[in-house]
Formats: sequence, C-alpha cells, structure tokens
Amino acid sequence: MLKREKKLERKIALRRVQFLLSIAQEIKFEDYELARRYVNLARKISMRYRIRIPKDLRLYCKRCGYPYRHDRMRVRVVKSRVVITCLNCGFVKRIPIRLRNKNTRMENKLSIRSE
Amino acid sequence: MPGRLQGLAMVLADEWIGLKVEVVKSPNPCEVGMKGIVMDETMNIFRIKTEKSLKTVAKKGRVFRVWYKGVRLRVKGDLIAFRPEERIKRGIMLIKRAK
Repeated sequence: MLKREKKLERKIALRRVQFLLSIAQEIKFEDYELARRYVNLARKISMRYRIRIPKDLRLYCKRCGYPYRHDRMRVRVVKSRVVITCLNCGFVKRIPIRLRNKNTRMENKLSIRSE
Repeated sequence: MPGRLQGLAMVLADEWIGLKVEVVKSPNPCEVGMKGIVMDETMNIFRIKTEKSLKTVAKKGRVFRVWYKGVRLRVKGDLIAFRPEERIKRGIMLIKRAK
C-alpha cells in the first residue's frame, strides 16, 4: 500500500486554487458562466484537500458561486456592517466593522453601558 | 521523497486549465493536430479553445502534447482521465507507482 503525500497534495492544491480564482476574476466580464465554473472547481479542490481559501481571494458568492461583479452585487453599510447582496441569487453576506483592539472594544462596551 | 516528486511529471497532478495543448494521436482523424488552450475540464473531456472555436475532446484513447513550464511533453490521455479535483491525489499516486 502506497502512502499519500498529503503535504505535497496540499501545496499543489493551494497553488491550483489561487490560480483558478485569479483567472476567474480576470475572465468574469467576458464569460460569467466560465468564471463561475472556475470558482466552483477551486472550491471543490479546497474542500477535498482542506485548504483555507485566502481571504483576499474570497470575491465570490458563497451560495451560487458567481464571482462578485459591480453590476451583479449591492454593497451597503448598515448598522456598522458591510452588507453585500448577490443579485444573482439574493444571498446576503454581512461583514462586521469593528476595532480589532481588545481594550478599545471593552471601553466601547463600558461607555455604552454607562449611558 | 517529496523532493524527487517535484518536476515535470507533476503535470499529472497540476492544473490543465490555461495550458497550451495539441492532440497528437486520436482514433478520430479529425481531432489530430487540433491545437489550443484548455478552457474547461471534466472527468472525461477537455474543452479546447482553438483558433476557430471551442472544441470538446475526450481524454481516453488520445495522446496530448502539452507545453508545461516551458517544456514540451507527451501525455497519454488515459493517465489524466480523473476528475480535476481528484487528480492531485491520483496523479501523485501514479508518479509514485511508476518509480
């Protein structure tokens, strides 16, 4: 029985995921369906080899797999959250805006309570 | 071992979308000499963008010439007839078995 080379597999998988997502971004204005296909392929690879997709490449809708495009999305800031709506499927993604520093967060909480 | 696995044989496990390929051998004479860039890939077929149009070529039974890392390689289609996401695992296994 041959042993699997999991480290090498993951290395190749990450490279392929990065490549596929970057060409999906390049091609999305010419062929939207093909770009979606590339995104779905990249996600399949990342799921199978348990690769975390880099944060700067997560520019697609989680539900339908279409990459975000300015004419097929809506971005609003609502209640200190960035709300991204995919206009293909209606999926809503909310990204909270908050300070990373723990102390400031505590101070904010305290000030709210005191009021 | 991982050091030796790197190299040109890695084409079996790597991404084929975006590579330039040519069909060298095929049971279908119309397909021989077809040249272009791979646009899409499934378990059994390649979609190749040639100068004229988008062509669909089966993998099994064909021999492809591929430009990979600046080198020309001949690859049997039977060796890459797996799902694209599965080929990383299977390709590495094939290389190891050959050694």
